[in-house]
Amino acid sequence: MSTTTAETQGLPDPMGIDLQPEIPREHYINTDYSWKSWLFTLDHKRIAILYLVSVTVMFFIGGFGAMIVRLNLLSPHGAIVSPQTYNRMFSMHGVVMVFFFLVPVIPAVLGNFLIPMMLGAKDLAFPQINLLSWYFYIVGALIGTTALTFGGVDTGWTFYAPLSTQFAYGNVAWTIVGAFLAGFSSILTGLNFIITTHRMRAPGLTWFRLPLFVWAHYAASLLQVLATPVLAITLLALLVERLFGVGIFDPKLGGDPVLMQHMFWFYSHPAVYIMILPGMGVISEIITCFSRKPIFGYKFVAFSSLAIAVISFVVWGHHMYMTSQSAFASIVFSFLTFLVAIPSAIKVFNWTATLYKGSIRLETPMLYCLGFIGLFTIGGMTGLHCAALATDLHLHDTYFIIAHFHYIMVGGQVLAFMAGLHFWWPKMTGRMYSEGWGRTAAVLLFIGFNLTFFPQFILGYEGMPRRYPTYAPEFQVLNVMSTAGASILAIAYALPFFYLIWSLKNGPIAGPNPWRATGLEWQTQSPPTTFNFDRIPVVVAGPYMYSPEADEILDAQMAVEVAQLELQRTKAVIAQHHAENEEAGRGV
Amino acid sequence: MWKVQHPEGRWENNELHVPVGRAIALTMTSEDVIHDFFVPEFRVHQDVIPGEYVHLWFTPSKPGIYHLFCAQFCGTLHSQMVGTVTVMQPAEYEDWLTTGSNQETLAAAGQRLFIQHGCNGCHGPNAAVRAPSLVGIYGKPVPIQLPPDGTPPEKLGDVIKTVPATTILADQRYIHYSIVLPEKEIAAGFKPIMPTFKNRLKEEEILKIVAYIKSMAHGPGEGVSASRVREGETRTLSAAEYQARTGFVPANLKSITGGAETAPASAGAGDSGSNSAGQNQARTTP
Repeated sequence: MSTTTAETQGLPDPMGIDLQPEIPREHYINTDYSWKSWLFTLDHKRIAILYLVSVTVMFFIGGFGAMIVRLNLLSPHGAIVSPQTYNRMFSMHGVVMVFFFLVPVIPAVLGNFLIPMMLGAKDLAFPQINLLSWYFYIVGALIGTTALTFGGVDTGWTFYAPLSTQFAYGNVAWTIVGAFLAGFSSILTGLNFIITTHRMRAPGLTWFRLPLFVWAHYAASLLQVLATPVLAITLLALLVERLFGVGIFDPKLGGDPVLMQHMFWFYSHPAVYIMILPGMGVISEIITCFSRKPIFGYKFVAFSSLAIAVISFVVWGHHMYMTSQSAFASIVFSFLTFLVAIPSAIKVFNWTATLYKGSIRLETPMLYCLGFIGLFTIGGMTGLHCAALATDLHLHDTYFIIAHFHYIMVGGQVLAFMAGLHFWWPKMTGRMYSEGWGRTAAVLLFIGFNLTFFPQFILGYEGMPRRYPTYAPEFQVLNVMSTAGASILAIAYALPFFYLIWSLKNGPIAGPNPWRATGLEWQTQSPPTTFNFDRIPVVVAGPYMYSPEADEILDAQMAVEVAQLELQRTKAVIAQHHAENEEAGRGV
Repeated sequence: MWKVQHPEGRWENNELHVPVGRAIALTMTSEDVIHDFFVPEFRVHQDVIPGEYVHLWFTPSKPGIYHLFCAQFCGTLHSQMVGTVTVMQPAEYEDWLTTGSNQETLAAAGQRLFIQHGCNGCHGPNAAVRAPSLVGIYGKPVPIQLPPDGTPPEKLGDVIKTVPATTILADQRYIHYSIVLPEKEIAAGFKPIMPTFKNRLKEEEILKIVAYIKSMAHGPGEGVSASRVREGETRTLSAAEYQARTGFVPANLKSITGGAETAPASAGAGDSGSNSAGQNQARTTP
């Protein structure tokens, strides 16, 4: 039998017996429906769902800011809002998307849900700390978004001093408090992942049998734990200067504004790898599954995650070529930044090599994945222009930078999240979504994204600075193109929201392993029970044992399962007949 | 708002006029937040940072009018902090310089301010108070003492006697700091008695005074008569002279000046010879 699962689900039914797999009787969602059971849950899967709901809300709040920004740029004079409002909107977009969406989105949702299952564990090492991290996050996010929507902040997400400490009006202090708290959530999640990976692997699950998703999260967690405290202290210093006038960054008070940038980017550059590394982990999982091939160069992909994590700590100065940083420091930072390209390229080449001669299935997660590889490559290649001193001299603080990091953050991270969400959605909910709508949204996202952000490369090259509510008229055509693309993008974001929610009740039942994927998380029911596995699994081989032979075995296993199911139900039907007959006999 | 002052005295707002084919050097600072001087056509880009002098140079190669943008987000009206750079033929530029709001050169204006604010009362040739002469120091290493951070002002006089001396290049930054933060870098062997001019002088006035001190760069070295020093050289005071002036001598003065009578002239004046447009800019407050 070589049919795909989608077909086996609708298996012809000779005896009028329903052979659809069933939602298991007991799973982590239906153990308790009360609101208390959600808000005080220690189950990593439920916390992941809490995070999923929260980051989705944050995504739409941040997206609203982006929408105002794009609409306003339809006209060179500012189409709909005042410069003041515009500045608040792009600041809201930046702060919400970076601190409350991009940083937690993959680790806190997919990582939380999957890492214990991939390790064959019942939960993370510290379930209570895991819940605490969500509370830090949600309190920070609520304070931050309230401050950003009522009153607003116009400093950008970078909070550069002395603008943020002495000059900006609005709720800068509360926004900083929000980001500060969200930072602690990130530290706690990272801590939990590191310890869980070290201590809670199933028997036989050696380091080199770990899924690459876990490796990527491990590397990102190191960054979260080591870099985020620097952000915390920077934000605290900003707060102290703003509220109490202590001179740290403002030269009028004897401070140094460039020091603030050093401290800020010491976190915020590693932060972009906190965002993208988990995304790379997702891609490594999916690309193998939908190519039906083991990953090409497992160890290289695993170690490139660690290499990215290490190098990312020493490249922050490339955000500061335009400051009074010494030319010598800039040259060193430029060189180190080029080094990051090597592990990133290793990943891209290895994913591409994985595709080679694979039997590729273009289902929704794979479409997002392929989109990721293309867009991340463009984002990475344009990153080299920003890393090189001579070209960055022109491109810095223009729309080229905006386009570059949206190619990484949206084209990379958001697509990876969408890929992961679609891939593990059946595991999380037990249901499949509409494949047709899924593919439509993936293709729309790719088209809308490119139409939005590619013109911005040209805009930036022609010299349009970022954070401008009004601009020179010659930039209008490209800005209108970009806004047109953004409207397609908005539809592509909204679609999954609807069809995924629809699938919760109406989607076809997925069964434990709809993608015929390897990995421990697929060897338990969907949705899993609270403690994931009936008994702790024992691992005897590495991950990604995909091959035509393995597929045959999987198919055979599935056929056996279907047959068993059939047998079971036939027996049940016979038993029922017997019972009826007996009753009829007695009646006679 | 970008405020521009040319060394010849002409000033302009949100515009910059420059001659074609000549290297232009800008000295920039900010009165409030970080801004960024960005001329896309020229491929030049430089943050303008408060409390610092940042430098930028370029050679315009084609006459015309080009965009000038502020590229570092600076507040509500950031996108209106824009202007133009006009590149002119040299002859036109010379004409342009002599028209408009053009009274005195930067250095002359600086000299006027120097007298007006009483700087010459201490630093002038016949000063009653003992302060270093500023003739001939520009672009040369000068001995200074760095008191520990956070020394209270009333103790500074005692503390400074025990602090070893070091040298620093007397550039624009040093002079700016000496005016607004005089207690940070104290001319070695002098009492820390200079008051700050932080809120009494605007950035553009400080730039004029710097230009004035720069114009005296080729005068005789500090505190000695012209006859004893050759042009282009400077000399620090001898230990005896320090003793006579202030009653104390930094212990390591000999080691940092090499004990020599003359110190080499520095090559620090990078923009000499080129047309230098002193530029100062401020942000329109929201």
